[in-house]
Amino acid sequence: MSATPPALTPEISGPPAGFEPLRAWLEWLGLRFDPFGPLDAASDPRLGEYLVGHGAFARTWGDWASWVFAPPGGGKTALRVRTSQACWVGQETNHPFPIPYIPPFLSWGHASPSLDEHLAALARAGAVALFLALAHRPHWLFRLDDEARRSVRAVLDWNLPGPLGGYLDRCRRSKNLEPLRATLDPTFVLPDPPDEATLLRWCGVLDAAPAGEPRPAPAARWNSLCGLLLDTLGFRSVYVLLDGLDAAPETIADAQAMADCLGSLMELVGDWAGQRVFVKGFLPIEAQSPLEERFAPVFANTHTATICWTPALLAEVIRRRVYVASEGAFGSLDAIASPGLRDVETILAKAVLPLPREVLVLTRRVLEEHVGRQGSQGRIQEEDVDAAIQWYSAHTPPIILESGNLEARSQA
Amino acid sequence: MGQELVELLKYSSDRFINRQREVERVLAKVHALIQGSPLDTRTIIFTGGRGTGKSWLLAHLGAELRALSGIVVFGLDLSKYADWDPILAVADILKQLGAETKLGKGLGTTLADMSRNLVQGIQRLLAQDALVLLVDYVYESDWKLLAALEEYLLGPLAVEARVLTVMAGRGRPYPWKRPELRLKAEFVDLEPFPDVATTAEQLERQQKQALARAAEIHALSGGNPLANFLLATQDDPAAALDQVVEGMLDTVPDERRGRVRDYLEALSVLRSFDEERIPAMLTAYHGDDKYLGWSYAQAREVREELVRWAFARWDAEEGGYVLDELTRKLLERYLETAQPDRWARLQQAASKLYSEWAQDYPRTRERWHQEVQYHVRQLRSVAAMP
Repeated sequence: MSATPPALTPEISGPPAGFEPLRAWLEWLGLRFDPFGPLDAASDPRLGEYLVGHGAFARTWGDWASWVFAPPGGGKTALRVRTSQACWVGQETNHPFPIPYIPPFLSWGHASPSLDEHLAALARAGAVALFLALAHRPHWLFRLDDEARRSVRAVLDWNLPGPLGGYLDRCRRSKNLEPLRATLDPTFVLPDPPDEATLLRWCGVLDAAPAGEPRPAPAARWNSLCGLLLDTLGFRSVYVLLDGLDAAPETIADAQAMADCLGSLMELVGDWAGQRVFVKGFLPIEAQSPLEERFAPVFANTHTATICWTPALLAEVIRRRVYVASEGAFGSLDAIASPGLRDVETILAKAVLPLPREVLVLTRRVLEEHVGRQGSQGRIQEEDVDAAIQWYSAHTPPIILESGNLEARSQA
Repeated sequence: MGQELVELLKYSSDRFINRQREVERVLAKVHALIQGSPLDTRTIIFTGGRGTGKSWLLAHLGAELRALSGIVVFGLDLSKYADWDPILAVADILKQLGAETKLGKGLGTTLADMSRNLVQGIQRLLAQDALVLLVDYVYESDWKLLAALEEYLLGPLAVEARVLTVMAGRGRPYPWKRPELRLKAEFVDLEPFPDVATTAEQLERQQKQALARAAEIHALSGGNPLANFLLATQDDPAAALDQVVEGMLDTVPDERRGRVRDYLEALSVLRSFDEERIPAMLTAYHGDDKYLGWSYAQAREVREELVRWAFARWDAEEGGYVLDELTRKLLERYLETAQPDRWARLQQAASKLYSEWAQDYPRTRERWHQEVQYHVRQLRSVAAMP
């Protein structure tokens, strides 16, 4: 596989210069929103509508353990976010419960966590997700009996990063869920949050639930959380969405270190599957070989996919976004380009490093070039594309590809 | 133009023919649901051009399925909600389903409450019976309506193991968020009737007086069921074509139909179009230069109208919008026979426009040159006819 160059990261603080004219122009063209705006997958509520790579998602989505491998910037987090978003449809618990798990290397101070350290971190991540979910869907708490409410209280007390009472106080003061999201996870947004009265009632019910036993060991805390989710609240299954493995200095360029980090956790994958808890790893491509070699029996019983970005797939990234932004009216930049341009997406896809973020950056640049030149009217011109590619080339660090193998594939 | 519109037939089982494969596909899944056998895919989406019989298929499925025990069937035609506020539309739909499943009134006052109560009630019902949702006019509907429908009804039910969702639509496939509605859906494209014998069978049941003309009708219609029916209502081919075209436009409100037809006729000679081509074609169609001064926004309104009524869609291969193929062919045929001068003007305008583009845009010269050649051939083919 190719060496992975650092991704291009243009300086953007706040809305870029020319934001309003750009938005006006996109509206003039028939796009309901800017589909090339959010580069951070976690903060893009529409990701599920235009994510490409259905093969990898098909491998991921389902009650089984799965692994998706991709290079840095290659869509791992986007796929994790998509999986999480796909769970949260509707008002009930008849779907998997997603727990985003990014190993907290910083708080550990090292990259070789013990099983207990993993389980404590997982229980915390799960409790945060549960707390936010309950806040958005208070009726799940209201219909529980006293014993079940006590279990909820215990799990939250044991595992939340801070005192439960502190979070509830913030909710009471603000009378909405913004403080919770801001503190715990700004990307956790579900439709139909409770009104003020319901929220205050929920705070009261949770406060009034009797405290549980003293905090047990991490394994017991994790098991209690899973029991609460699956048996008490009735979720169909639990998905542990593992990401961020290459976030620590120790692991960022060391595939063996990544494998070591996951060692204690991998041994539980099979057992957990029998308990309806399914690990779904979104992992760096470099970790694939060491993991598959070291944990061959685990991989023999799970689904695996590898994302490689070809120009065709990168072009599809642009087309899908255009399609959704136009509400299906058109599915290509060609529809808003001059007759002198054809298959604009492929032109752009071939001009970038083979990563989706790069093609989004370049596409955005094309739009900005146009607005800079022609304001909020007219269609994309050849000069816009040429100027954007020139700009991109001037800012791209040099890369050396070790391999020319760029076919997207899924493996059994 | 201007003849009295033929009233389109409403579905009845004795008029329904063909589509055994599609019906059996659905019945097989329904029987599995009734028996409690697991089904990996529980969404089927029927697509197809105007007049291919999607709505009739759903009506027929409804009739067949309601005759079975162990199943509850809920039919939903989203065309009814075309002008509704999406929230009110979904609330109405939830109420109806509540009534249909005998869950009683008082589901709640907010969509969230209604959805929650309805889904809980349906979950209890599913312990005894399976549920089939038949949803028509899906891709033609407003995306805000579909988003709300997914959030409050289709999404939560798609997860349930004993619910089958059957949809039908034409135009813009909606990007459902729920994997069960997209990733794990089966897509079935309804083809026209394959042969003269099937067209004859349709005429036997629907327009017996035209049975002797089955071969001629099938040649004109390509086997499209709606076109078959409409062509059979007239003896005169030119009048028949006009009636077929009007029938194909039946889904467009009366006050807009004339304008939409003009747009479609003006663009019917093109293999693809976009906002840049619309003014030139309207100029040629009307013989009026004022369209050359049209703005992009004005041309866009034309395109949006045609896409809105699902008579045009973006085609990646063509790199432009294409008209519903049968509608386009019938319109062009109508112009060729009933208004040959206009047809020739349109071909000449297209040829001229593409010649200019081939000169002005070197990067895409070859593409526009091919279009010029196509229109020149079209003109020659007519000129060569005796």
